[in-house]
Amino acid sequence: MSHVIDHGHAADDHQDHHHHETFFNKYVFSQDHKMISKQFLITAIIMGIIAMLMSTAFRLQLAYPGEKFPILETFLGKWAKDGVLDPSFYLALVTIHGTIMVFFVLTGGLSGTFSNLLIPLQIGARDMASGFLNMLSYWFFFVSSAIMVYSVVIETGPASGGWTVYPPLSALPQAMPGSGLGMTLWLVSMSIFIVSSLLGSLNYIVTIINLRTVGMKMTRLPLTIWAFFITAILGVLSFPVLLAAALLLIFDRSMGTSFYLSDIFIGGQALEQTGGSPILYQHLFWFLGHPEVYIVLLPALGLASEVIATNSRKPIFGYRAMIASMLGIAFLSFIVWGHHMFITGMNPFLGSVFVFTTLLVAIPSAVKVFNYLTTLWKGNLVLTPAMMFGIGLVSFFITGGVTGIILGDSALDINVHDTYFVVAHFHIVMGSSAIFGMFAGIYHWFPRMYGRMMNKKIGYAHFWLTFVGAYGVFFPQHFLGLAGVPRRYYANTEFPMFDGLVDINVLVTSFAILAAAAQALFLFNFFYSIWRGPKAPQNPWNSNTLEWTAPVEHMHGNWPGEIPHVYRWAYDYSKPGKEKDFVPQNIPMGDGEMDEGH
Amino acid sequence: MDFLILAIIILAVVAIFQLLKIYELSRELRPDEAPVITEADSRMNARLGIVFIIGFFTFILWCIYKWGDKLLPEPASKHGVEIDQLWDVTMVIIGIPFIICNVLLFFFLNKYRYKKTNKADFFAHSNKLEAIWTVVPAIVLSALIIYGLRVWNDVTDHTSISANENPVNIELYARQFDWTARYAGADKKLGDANFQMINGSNALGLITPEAITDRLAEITKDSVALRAKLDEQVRLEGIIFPKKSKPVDPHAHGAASHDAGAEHHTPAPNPEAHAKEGEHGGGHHEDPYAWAGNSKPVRAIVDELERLSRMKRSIETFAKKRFTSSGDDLLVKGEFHLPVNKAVLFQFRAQDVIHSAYMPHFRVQMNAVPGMKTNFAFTPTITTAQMREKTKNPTFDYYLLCNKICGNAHYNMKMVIVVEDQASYDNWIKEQKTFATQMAALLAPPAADSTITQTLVPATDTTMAKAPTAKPAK
Repeated sequence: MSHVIDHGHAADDHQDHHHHETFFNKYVFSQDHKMISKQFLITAIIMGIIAMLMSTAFRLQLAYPGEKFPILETFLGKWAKDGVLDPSFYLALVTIHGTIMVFFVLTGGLSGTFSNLLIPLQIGARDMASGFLNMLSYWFFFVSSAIMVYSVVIETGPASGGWTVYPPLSALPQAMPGSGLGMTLWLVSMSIFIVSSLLGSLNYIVTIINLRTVGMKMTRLPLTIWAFFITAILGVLSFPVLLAAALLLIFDRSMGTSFYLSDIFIGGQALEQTGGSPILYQHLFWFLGHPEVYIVLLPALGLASEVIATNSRKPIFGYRAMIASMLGIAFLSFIVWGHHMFITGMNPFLGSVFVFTTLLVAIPSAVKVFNYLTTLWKGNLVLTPAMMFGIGLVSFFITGGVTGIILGDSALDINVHDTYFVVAHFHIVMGSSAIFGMFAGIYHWFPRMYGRMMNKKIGYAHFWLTFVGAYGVFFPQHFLGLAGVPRRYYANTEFPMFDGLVDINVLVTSFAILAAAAQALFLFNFFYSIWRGPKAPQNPWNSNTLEWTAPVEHMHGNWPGEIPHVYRWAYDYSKPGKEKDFVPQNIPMGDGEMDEGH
Repeated sequence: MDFLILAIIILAVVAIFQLLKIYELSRELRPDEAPVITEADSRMNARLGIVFIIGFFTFILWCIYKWGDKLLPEPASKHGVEIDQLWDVTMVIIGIPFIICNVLLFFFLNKYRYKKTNKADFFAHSNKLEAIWTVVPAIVLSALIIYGLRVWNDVTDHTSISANENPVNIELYARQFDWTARYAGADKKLGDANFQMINGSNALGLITPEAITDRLAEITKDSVALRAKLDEQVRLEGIIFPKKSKPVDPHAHGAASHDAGAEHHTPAPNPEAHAKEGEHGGGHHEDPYAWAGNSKPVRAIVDELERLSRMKRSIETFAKKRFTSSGDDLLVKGEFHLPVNKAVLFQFRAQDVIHSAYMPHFRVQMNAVPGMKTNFAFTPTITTAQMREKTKNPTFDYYLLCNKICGNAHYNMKMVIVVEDQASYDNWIKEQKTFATQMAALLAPPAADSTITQTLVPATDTTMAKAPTAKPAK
C-alpha cells in the first residue's frame, strides 16, 4: 500500500516509479479513490436494479390483488405459487426494497461513489487520507450487500418486518417466517454495513480537514465537499447508535436478554423475557433513522448545487447561507427523531417538543429552495442531462418537503401516520430527490470517471420518463393516504372502505413499470458509454472545480506534476470583466479582483 | 384490459430503447458529434419543462376530480373537526409555496435557457433577500407550530374527559391477527390482566379468582404430564439419578395444593427445587443437572418444568395482591358499538407484537405495545346511520384497522365500529356476555351452550403466526 501514499510526498518522482498494476490491485483490491468510487457505483447500480425489480413485483400485487402473473412464479418460485405473490413474501419484498434503497443505494452508493470520487479531486489531494481503510470500506460494503442479497433466497425468506425491523416482530421467530434466519442475516449485513460506513466517513472527514491543497480554505470548498463533510459527520455520530440497537436486538434474539421484550405471549407460550420496552428500540433506531434521511439527502443536494451553479453559468446564490442551512439541517436532524413516534403512546408534552424542532427544519430547507431558484434567475441555463436531473431534484424537494410540515405536526400526523401519505412524502422528498441527485452526479461526472461522454439524447429521454414516472408513482399515493389506506398492506381488498381506490393503484403501478423500464435506457447509456462513448474533453462542462484540471486518463495521484494551488472560490461563473464565463479555482486573482468566497 | 395497457407501455419503452440503440449504432458510422449541449437541446428541454408543469397541475386537478370524493369523509369525532381545520389551514400554507416554487422553477428554466449570446448575471448573494426568506418562513412556521400544538394539547388531554364526562371505558386488545374489545363491566373499571394468565379459556389474560384457579390447575396438569415424560425419557436413555435427589413434589412451594394424587410416585429428581436455589444466588457455578449428561431431550424437559414452576410462583405472587377482578368485563369480537356524543376512553394492549389501532374516520390512531398500556379518548359525533346518509353509501361502516406491520395477515386485522344512539347502545350492551360467563361456558363440558362458545376467543389460534419458523438454508 505504500506506493499509493508515496505520491502525497513525492509528487516529483511520480513518473519514475509508475506502478506495476496487476488486475487485482487495479480493479479488485484497489486503493485508488477513483477506482473505489466506481466499485461503489457499480455495486449500487446492481443493488438498485434488484430493489427496483422488487418494487415492480409488489406493485403488481397491489394493483391486481390475487391476479395471476406467471412471470412472478418464474422468478420467485414457491413465493409466488401460480403467479400470485405470497403475503409473507410481499412483506419481505417491501422490507428488502426499503433496506436496499435507503442503505445500499442512497447511503453506501451515493456517498461512497461521490465522496470517494470528488473529495480528493476537488480539494486537491493525491488520494484519501488512508487508501487502505478506503479499500476496506468498499469491501465491507460489498460483503454486507452480498449477505443482504443472499438473505432473499434462503428457505424461510428474508427479513420481513419492514425496513425499520421493529421488535418484538423482528425479535421473535415465532412471529413471522422472516424473523428467523432472514432477520439474523439482515442484522449481520447491517452491522457490517455500519462498519463500512464508519470507515468511509472517518476517512472523508480526515481527508477534508487535512489534505486540502494550498489556498483551499474551508470557505472556498465547493458545496459538494461541504455536503459530504457534513454527511460524514452525521454518519459518524448516528450510525454507531444503530449498531448498538442492532446488537441489543441480536442479544434479545439469541441470548435470552429482554432489552426490547416484555409481557409477550406468542406461539402458545408466555415468554419469560420481561422488563424491556419495544419503544426503546424505536428511540435508538430513529436516533440514527432521522439523521439517515439527511445522510441520504445532503450529498444529493451538494451534487445538485454544483451541477446547477455550473450549468447556470452563475455563482450559487448565497454560498454561505447554503453551508449554514446544511449545518442547521444537520444539527436539527439529531433532535427530531421523535416525530416518527408520535403515536407510540409517548408523553404528549415530549411530542410537542419534537413538533417544535421538526417544523424548524422547514426554515433551512426553504432557504435552500429559494437559493436554488435565485441561482437559476437571470442565469444562462445550459440544460445538460445532469442539469435536468438537478432541476428534477429541486422540484421533488419542494413537493415532498411541504408535506413534511403535515407529518411533523403531531396533531395532523395522527391520521396519516403509517399510511400511503407517508409513503408518498418520503419517496418524493428523500427517495426521488436523492436518486435524482445521484443521476445528476453520474451524468455530470461520468466524463471524469471514465474519460468518455454519455449520450445526451438518451440522457434526456431517461430524465423525462423517470421524472414523469416518479411523480406518477408517488403523487397519487397522497390520495391513498388521505383515504386512510395503511402502508404495508398485502392487499386493500379486505376493507369495503377502500373499494373505490383500486384504480389509483392501477395507475401507480403503470407509472412504476414505465419508470422501471426507463432505467434500461440509463443502463444501456452507462455501460455502452464506458467503452464506446466519445472521448471526453478536459473540461466538458466548463467547470471551475479542480477535478477538471486533472488528466482524463486514469492515474494514481491524480495530477502528474504538482497539485494545483487554489486562489478563488469555486463559483466565479460569468464574472464581470472576464473574457470567458468561468474562472477555474487554480487561476490566480487578477489585479484588484475581489474573491467572493473569502 | 388493464394488463393490456401495461403491455403497451412496456412495448413502447422497449421500442424507444431499440430506436435509440439503432440511432446510436448509426452514429458510429458518422464523424463524432461535438458532445456539447446546443441551444436546440436547451430549448427542447425548457419547452418540455413547460409542458410538464402544465401537465403536472392538470394531473393534480384530475386526481382531485376523480378521487376527491373517495377520500375520508368529514371527521366523525369532536376532536376530528379541530384536526381537519388545522389540516385545511396547513394545506393553504404549504400549497402556496408548492405552486409558486414549482412554477418558478420551470418558468426560469424556459426564460433563462442557454443562448450563445447571453451572459448570466453575476449575482452571488444578497443579505437582504436571504434575510427575507429566512424570517418569513420562520414567522409562518411559528404561527403554525403554536396553532398545531394547541390542537395537539386539546386532542391528547384526557384528564378532563376522565374526570368530568364519565366516559365509556373500552380496551382494544390486539394480537396476531384480530382485535378484541373489552368493555368495563358493572364496576365501571377495566379489571386487571397479566400475560401469564393467557390460556385457552382466557385469551386476554384477564384476572379473576376463577381464572387464577383454572390457570394454576392447568400448570399443575402440564407439570405432571411433563414429569411423566421425563421419567419415560430417563428410562429410555438409562440415566441414573444420584441417590440424594428428592422425589418430586409439584406443590412443594405452592400455596394452592389441590392435586395430591400426582405426588410421591416418581423417582425423578426435583428440578423445581433447584430452580428455587438458583434464584437465591446459589448453584450457578455447579450444574444441578449433571446427572442428565448430554441428553438434550432430558434437559429440554427439565428446562420446561423449571419454566412452569417459575410461572406458577409468579401467578401465585400477584394472586395474593389486591386486584380488580375482570369477571364483569364484557368481551366482544367482530364489531363493537359506541354511543354517539359520549366520551370514550380507550386503553390499548397487545399480546405478541406491536399493533396500531387506527380508526381513520374518527382521526384516531394509537399503538398497542406489548408490556405497555396506551390510551386515547374521543367523542364520536356522527352515528353510522347518519354517515350512511351523508356519504350516500348505504353500506358504509366505520372500521378499526391495524396500522403497524404485525405479520402475514396484517392487512386483514379489523373490527367494525358501530356508532348509535344511547338507547340502541344500551340494548346492545345488555346482550353482551361477561368474561366470567364466557369462561364458565368454555370450561363446562362440551355439550354446553354453543352460542356462547361462538363469541369466545380461542387463545391458541395461531395458525397464521405459526408459519414455518427459521430453518437453516440449504
